[in-house]
Amino acid sequence: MVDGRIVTALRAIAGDDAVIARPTELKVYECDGYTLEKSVPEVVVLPASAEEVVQIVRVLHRENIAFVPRGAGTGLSGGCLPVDAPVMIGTSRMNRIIDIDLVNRRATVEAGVVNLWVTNAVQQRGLAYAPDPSSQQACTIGGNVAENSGGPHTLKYGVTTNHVLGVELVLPDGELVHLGGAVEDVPGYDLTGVVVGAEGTFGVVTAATLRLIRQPETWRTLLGIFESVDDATATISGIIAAGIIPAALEMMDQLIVQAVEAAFHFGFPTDAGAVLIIELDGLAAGLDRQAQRVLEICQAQRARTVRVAKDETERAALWKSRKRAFGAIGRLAPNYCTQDGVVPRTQVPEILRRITEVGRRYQLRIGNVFHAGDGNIHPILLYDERDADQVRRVLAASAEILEACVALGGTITGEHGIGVEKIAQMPLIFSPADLLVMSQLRQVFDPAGRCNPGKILPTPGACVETKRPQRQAAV
Amino acid sequence: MNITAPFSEVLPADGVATSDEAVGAFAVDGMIPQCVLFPETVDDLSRCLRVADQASLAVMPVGNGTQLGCGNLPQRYDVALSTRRLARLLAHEAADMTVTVEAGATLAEVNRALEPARQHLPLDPPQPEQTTVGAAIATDASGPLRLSQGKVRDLLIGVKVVLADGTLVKGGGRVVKNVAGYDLMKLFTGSFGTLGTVVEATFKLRPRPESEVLFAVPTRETGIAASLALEVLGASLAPSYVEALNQTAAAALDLGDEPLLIVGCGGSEEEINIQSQRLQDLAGKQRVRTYAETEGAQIYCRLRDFPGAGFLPRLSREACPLDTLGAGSEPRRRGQGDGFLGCKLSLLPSKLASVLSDIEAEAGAKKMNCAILSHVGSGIAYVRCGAADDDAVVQFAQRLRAAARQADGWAIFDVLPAHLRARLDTWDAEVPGISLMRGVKKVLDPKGRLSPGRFVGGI
Repeated sequence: MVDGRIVTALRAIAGDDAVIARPTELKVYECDGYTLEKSVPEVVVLPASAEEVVQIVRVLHRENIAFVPRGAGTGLSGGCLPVDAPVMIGTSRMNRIIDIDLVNRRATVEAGVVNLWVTNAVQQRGLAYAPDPSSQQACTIGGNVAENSGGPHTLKYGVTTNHVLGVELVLPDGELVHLGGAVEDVPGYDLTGVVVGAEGTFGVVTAATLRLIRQPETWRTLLGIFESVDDATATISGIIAAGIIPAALEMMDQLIVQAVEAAFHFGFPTDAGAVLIIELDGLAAGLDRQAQRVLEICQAQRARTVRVAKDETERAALWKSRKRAFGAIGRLAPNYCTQDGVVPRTQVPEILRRITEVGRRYQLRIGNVFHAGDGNIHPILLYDERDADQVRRVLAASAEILEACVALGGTITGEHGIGVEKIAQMPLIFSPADLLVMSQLRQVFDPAGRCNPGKILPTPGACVETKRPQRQAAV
Repeated sequence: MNITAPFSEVLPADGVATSDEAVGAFAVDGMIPQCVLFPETVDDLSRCLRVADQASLAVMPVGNGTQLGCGNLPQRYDVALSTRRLARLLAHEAADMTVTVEAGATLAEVNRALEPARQHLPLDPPQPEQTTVGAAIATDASGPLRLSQGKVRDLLIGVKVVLADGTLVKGGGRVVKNVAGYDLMKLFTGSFGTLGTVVEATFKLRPRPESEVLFAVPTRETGIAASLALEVLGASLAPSYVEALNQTAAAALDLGDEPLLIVGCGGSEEEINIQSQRLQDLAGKQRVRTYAETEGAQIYCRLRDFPGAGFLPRLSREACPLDTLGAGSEPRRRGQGDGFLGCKLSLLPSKLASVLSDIEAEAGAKKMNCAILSHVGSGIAYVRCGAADDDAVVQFAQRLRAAARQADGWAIFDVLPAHLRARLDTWDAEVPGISLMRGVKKVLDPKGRLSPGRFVGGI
């Protein structure tokens, strides 16, 4: 579909070394962190500027070729899997921090800038970029904007959409538009807010203006060890009921704790039923009293021990364990599938019971590591892809877990996105009328449907391929 | 032609109001709808819109009509569709810290219901007793607390909307984290009734602070108050709000005779004490006045209500050049000849001090009375001014817009007398993404039934 003429045109725009068309080199781009489906693009082009993106997209528009934008490929729902899109536009070379405004706490960065670079660039001045997905050392701001990424600290500080003030976007016809901006309350519809979380279906985001936050004066990071998952979840409810909003409130169950401990040797007791990581932040005054209240709430729920991180090193080690928990799972099974669902906070104990029950019924090992304070669960289903029956059971169990989330008043994704993975589940939560409005909205940005087709919305007539897992990529 | 008959078939008898008083309450700058509809269920509201669509009538979704002063004159205005009787609290899940409420409930009603759980919905635009949830969403209404608690876009997690043809659609859900589907909450927030009628909303809630204190620091100049505010924002404090008032605004709010910096802090006693200490270190111990409990709460309410329609008459009472305004009702309901202007500026916080000083100087030179209150951390300033001379008001408005543009910001005229609307665009013609916005309007309201002409670019 993409002939030599077009490859030549792309080379002329972005340079020879910025166009990848050799099958062996293209293999890297066959999937993101969602590895159950794969598809190799015909051409990958890596522009170095928004102007190059404009020129590339104009060529594709003229030739009526569909394309898919891609950041670092750390997404977990197949958001940048090429589906009927022969060309992939990667933003990795657009990695400049364009402007940092310390007084107004804004940063304008190109889409390929890595999430953590933003905080690294401003932390000496007491500022930070709040959204901190577990993949923050690799994932890009463009990808975060596409997925409306979260992370542990979003409980207090909000997700990506709460921190993006404006975007620069190349529409699928090649027009460059600026939406929102550096100031708040720009007149007109909040199109920035609509582009964030659109999973790259509205165009290629080439830059974003971000809000920076003041780093809190100090932190108290507590580790609570519990005999049972129920005690841990009761503690979560107790903390929220006390009117305390921690900066983060994370849970890991026994299976995950064992894997994490084997990988990082933090000192977690591997016989505990569950652990909670509870981080409080803010002004130093009063924080110890708040930490004391949290400690008492933990003890009232029969915590075996509660330990407060004694210094920044211990705090960092604790967070490293949590954020790399997914990576540690590799020790437990050849393959795993990370699910992402949300329930009302009070339903966390119930959904965990149902997950246990689903695991028992399908004879699968399922671990849980998740943002408990938000009710955002991440059950991890372990399997071996060589066993076709296990694969079938993993898919069926995942679907049941998501259905249970919906039945409990929740939703099918809290931060990973719909991508290709959950298209089939969209009708669980949205009516045909809801989906029609979404599809009309998409047509405003992309009337020809050439930008990241086959994502988010179930299209009548299009069928989701039977998912056949191949290999497990690193997460 | 009697347009009300078909509505009487779908609503109970008292759901269709046609009296002068009823329709007059929802007049927009002298344009009076032929009837006001008060559906009590979402189904009835949906039927109303379907009827209006079939009869090719122009509908303006409203709540109590508090926000009708903002927006361009509608091209057509046949029916006001009020959600005021659609006001049930559907679910307050205290332990989940969420509330689901119908759009016609007022912010004050919602917050009263949340109070026993020591929670609140921290949206604080003027007039919470009258401002409905639907109006707050549709106009993206905010107040001082936006600094620490965010705006509608940060708190709204689910929405149900009836479109122009009567179709009910929803976005989001009832959980605090959700990325399934496009974010329709953002689309409808601040859409000024041009895309649909919000009928139900789910919000994240916040715990109420243990205690709250308001600090006021008098300064010599407005620019100094704004600069000092920036210093506070950069220091180790965690204020709930940080406001700067010019002298006229301070006087009109009975807060003395000098420009003021106002800082609100909430939290535990320790947190408040340390912030009080730090503010004194920064501003000078003698200068910081502390208002606790009732007194602080009263001052906060005056700040909150400043941008609202109720303020201009107050300004007129306090300061003689505005006598032409008269007292009493809201400005939008007054007749020709009143020279007044409300302008909302959106700027980078660092640019407020110089822009506001320039504006004050210009107002002074023109002998216009000009009250300014700004949410400094958000870069928002509300300018309220009056003069007997219309031309002076128009010139001043154009000057405000030019100043905002020069500072890479925006000026919208959120309070304008009817007879000046033809001369001044409430919005700004050059907003980014306007062609996409027209596209959105076209797909969601293809026949232009909803609040036609009220929004940016004639949308």
